[in-house]
Amino acid sequence: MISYILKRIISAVPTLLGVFLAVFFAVRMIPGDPAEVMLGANATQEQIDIYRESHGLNRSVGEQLVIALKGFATGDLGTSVSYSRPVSEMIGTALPSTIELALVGVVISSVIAVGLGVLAAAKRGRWPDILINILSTVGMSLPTFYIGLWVLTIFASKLGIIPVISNRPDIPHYKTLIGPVITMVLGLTLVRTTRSSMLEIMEEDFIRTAKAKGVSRKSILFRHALGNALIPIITMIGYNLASAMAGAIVLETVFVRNGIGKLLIDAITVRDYPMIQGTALVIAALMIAANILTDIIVALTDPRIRVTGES
Amino acid sequence: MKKIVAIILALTMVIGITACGKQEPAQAGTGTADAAPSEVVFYYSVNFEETNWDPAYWTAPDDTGLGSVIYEPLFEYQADGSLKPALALSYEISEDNLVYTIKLREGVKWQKGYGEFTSEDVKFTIERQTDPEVASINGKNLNVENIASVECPDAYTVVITLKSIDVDFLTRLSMFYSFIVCKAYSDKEGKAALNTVPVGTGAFEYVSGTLAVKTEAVANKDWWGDREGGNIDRLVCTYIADENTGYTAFENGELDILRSSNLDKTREYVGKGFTDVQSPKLSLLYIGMNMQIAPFDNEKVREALFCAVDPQYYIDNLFYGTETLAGSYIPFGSKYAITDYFKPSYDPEKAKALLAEAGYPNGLDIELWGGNDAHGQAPVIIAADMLQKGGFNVSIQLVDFGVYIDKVRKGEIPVWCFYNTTSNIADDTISRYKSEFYPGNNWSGICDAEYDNLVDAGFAAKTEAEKAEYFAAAQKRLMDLTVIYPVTTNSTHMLCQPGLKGVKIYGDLSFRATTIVK
Amino acid sequence: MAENKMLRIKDLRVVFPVGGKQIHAVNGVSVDLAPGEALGVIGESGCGKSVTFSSVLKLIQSPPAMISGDIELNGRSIMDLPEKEMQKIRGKEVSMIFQEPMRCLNPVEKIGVQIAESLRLHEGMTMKQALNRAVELLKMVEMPDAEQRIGCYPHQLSGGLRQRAMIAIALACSPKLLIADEPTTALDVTIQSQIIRLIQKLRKETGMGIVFISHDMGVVASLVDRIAVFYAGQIVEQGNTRDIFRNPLHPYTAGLIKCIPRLDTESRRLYTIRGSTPNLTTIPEGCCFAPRCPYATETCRTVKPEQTAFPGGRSCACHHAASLN
Repeated sequence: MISYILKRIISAVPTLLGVFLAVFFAVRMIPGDPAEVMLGANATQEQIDIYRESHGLNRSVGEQLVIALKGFATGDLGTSVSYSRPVSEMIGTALPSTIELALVGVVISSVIAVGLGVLAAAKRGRWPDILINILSTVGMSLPTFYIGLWVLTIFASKLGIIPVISNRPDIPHYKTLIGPVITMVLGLTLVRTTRSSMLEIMEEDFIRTAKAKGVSRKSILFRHALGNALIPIITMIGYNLASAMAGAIVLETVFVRNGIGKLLIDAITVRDYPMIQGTALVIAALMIAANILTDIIVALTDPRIRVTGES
Repeated sequence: MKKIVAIILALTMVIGITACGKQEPAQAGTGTADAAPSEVVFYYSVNFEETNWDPAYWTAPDDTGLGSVIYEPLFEYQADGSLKPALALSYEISEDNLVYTIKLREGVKWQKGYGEFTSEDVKFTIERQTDPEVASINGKNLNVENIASVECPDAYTVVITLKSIDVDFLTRLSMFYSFIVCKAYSDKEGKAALNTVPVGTGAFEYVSGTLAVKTEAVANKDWWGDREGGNIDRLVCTYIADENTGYTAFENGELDILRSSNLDKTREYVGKGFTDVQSPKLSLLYIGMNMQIAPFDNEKVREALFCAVDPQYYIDNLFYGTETLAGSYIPFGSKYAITDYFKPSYDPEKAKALLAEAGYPNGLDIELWGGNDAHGQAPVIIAADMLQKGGFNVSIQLVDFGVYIDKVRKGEIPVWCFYNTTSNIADDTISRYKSEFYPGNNWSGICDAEYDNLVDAGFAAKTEAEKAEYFAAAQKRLMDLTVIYPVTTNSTHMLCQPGLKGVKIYGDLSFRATTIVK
Repeated sequence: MAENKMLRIKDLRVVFPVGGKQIHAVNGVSVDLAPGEALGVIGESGCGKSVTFSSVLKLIQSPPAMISGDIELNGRSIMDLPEKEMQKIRGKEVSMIFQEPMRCLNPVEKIGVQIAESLRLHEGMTMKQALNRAVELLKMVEMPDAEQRIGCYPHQLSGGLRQRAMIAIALACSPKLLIADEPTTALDVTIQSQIIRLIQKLRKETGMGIVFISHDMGVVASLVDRIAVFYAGQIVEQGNTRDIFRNPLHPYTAGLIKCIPRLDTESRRLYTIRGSTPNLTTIPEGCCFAPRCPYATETCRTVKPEQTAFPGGRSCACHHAASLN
């Protein structure tokens, strides 16, 4: 198992390098120059030149690439053009908040979504199933920021349960998570996966065996069916976790939370090349980590995979 | 067993990370944890934060949201253009107008225990503008190349000698880029320290901040100045990128004040009993053309466009009467602006006739560019509609600021509708249209020898009156070229919670909570 | 007599609605089983034999299936028993084993736990007691290294061992009746005979009744007392094993027997019954087998043959049974 994990981590390095290079060239292909954007409409060429020189933007793309690659190899993500601070320091401040939001949000929304999915599967074709289906279709098709704004309007403005500005000192920490987590829950991405996996597994022969043993319906549903459906569900949760890291961009902007997604958005607006490269790299790394973690948990849950991994 | 391990693993991660997450705000808020309950906290926000605390990198006084309450200049710029002593007490100018002897305020303390403010700090502030290690972008604004020497005969006197006459030199010393920074702090913590934690002499002292999240400052008890009854003990400035979130937070009472760029929202809130404070008019909405690009190299086409624009429509429907006709491409709030030269005449039929004369009897296809932000879109769409009625076939190009500025500087945008803010001294906007700056900052491609000469003469002027005369002539010359159409003035609106008193937006567009009573 | 039957199925009919049509899977099946008796159920796939005996445990989801007729277990009708009561019967009074042991075992639970589940449900054992009993049961089904195997997952066992585990699960609570639904079909021939011998042995030891469902006459021959031949959702012939083999009354039964490969025949070709099983969406007017029957006459095609009793407790549904005999 440990060698498997090591192998996965090592194989992630070329992927990350690929992401890094792709982002490196992609950001330089967007029209717009960091110095021009940062200095605004009235900037003189002289100001722009000073700014470019002091931020290393006057170097050729080749030189910049060499510097960036050296940095990549040594773990130095460079200095933010807009904040004049090391990118790693900025990410370090923002990262715990993003991971916290992604994890808490994914865990809570997963529990709720799996519950609803099981309910829908158990009541297949009847009104709870239909209702859950409608809700999840609506939830999945509405953009996150739209749901977020509604959550903000309802829970912050009308009910006054949660704060609009999360990072105020007088707000208990857990309250700042409520809005984004509700938004993630309303996304309900997992309901369909759960429902369909449950229905598929309910058709399996071993469910009939369990029934023939005299196992109750509840136990069949939760022990035998959900026990097996957990494997696709965990895989999906892992995918959700990975995309939640990236999806935090929207939630962090709407709910005024510190986080890496917001850093990335700001960085793109001002063409802060090192910051875009750094945040994209970290988000990619988080997604890979979430995938590895998922595979490990699936392997621990599914005896069939573990054995092939060992042999 | 393995299943249990898996579950424990997952739970540990969640709990672990949650715990990490909890630590971080606690750290950020250390300054507030022991705050007295009676403390008056003022909450506000910025929608974009450049969190470099060194004024040498700023492009406006409020880039950081807090800069102008932490730092102070020698003189304070008043909305009417006059100067009020701040860290300076008085000044004398030699007869040749080259030597400025400035007496400094005594007993002013630097925050965070960096001792007393002295003439050495002024010398340091000016001289670091040319320090390559600092790489200030504001040297040109201060016109630092024209400074021959800065001397400190004693701790409270500074003598600045210029190479040639600069009629606006004192005004330059009142701008944000002349905010005095602490030499002792830079010497002790290094030149880069100014980027991360500001140390000033002003009414508020920086306490803590998380980059791109929020900043907190507390009232500086040792401040020399007059709060005029202001009672704010602590400032919390949050960075809110999403406009709607800002309005929701304000309505919820989580912000005491909100910079509102949506006039419909502003009116809606004023209707609900909130108050609106409007800034001096240092910005304007304009339509610009690039006269180097066909068909705008044709004067008839430019004139046709001028005839097709109806500024009154903007005033009535976009600004609900809160703005006025612009009068010049230099806004009213700026020194040297002429106010009554540009007299637009709206006549779409004449526009069509002019287009026909120019060889476009069936209309002229143009691409009208603008920013894709909510604030920037509306005027572009209105302009497109007007131009359509004047015989232009308009296609709209709304792009993000980065793309826009890149293309417009390269001379790739033929016509655009945009906001422009000018500094208090009009030097920047006047000089950008000189031929030498095309392509580049001279977006309109104005390459006019007469204009260039007038501007140069203005800069060489020996008196303020003389400079004003040349700059007025330059503005008239540029307006006669019919290439920049100043549509209306434009100002910032601050929405305030009911009962908030003493809210001011200063002449340099800075917002300071110093005098606010909550 | 009737009180002596442990299982009595009377005129069972099962209809599945599928896509607007109705599939008549079981069309009036009546069959009995005495305590301790072993019944072989023979027929091609899709002839309703599995559906019939799955109905004994009410494993057929209804609705959508429409089930009529009557099933009695020890004289008690189960047709209207609530689900809770059925759960007490399943695995306790009547157990069932299935065709594919890989797919019929829960892939993410250990064998021991799966055996223990029945014991904990029906016998109220603790996990520890149940696991101890599971080891005994695995020994009983001749599982080698039973102590270690309870910790194995199904995929770690071979097909034969899986079927032994399956049998151990079925026998955990000493049921009175074991329904074995093609338990050897998916196994190698050598393993097949091992399992058959095991079932024989277990029957002797426990005295339980067995319903052994198979499509292969040869497999059941040595194991069962009586045989019921299914065709198109009906029983076309039943009787003692020996009688049926010696003297099949129904042409279909005769065909099935001919299909058994024999070492003593001259023929190089295996016998096949021509044609294929009928579509069950419509019930034909006459005999279901008529289209494939070498002896079919006009009567066969228009008049449905009734179950007719023959000496020796035999019955057959064929117009020509008497003459063929």
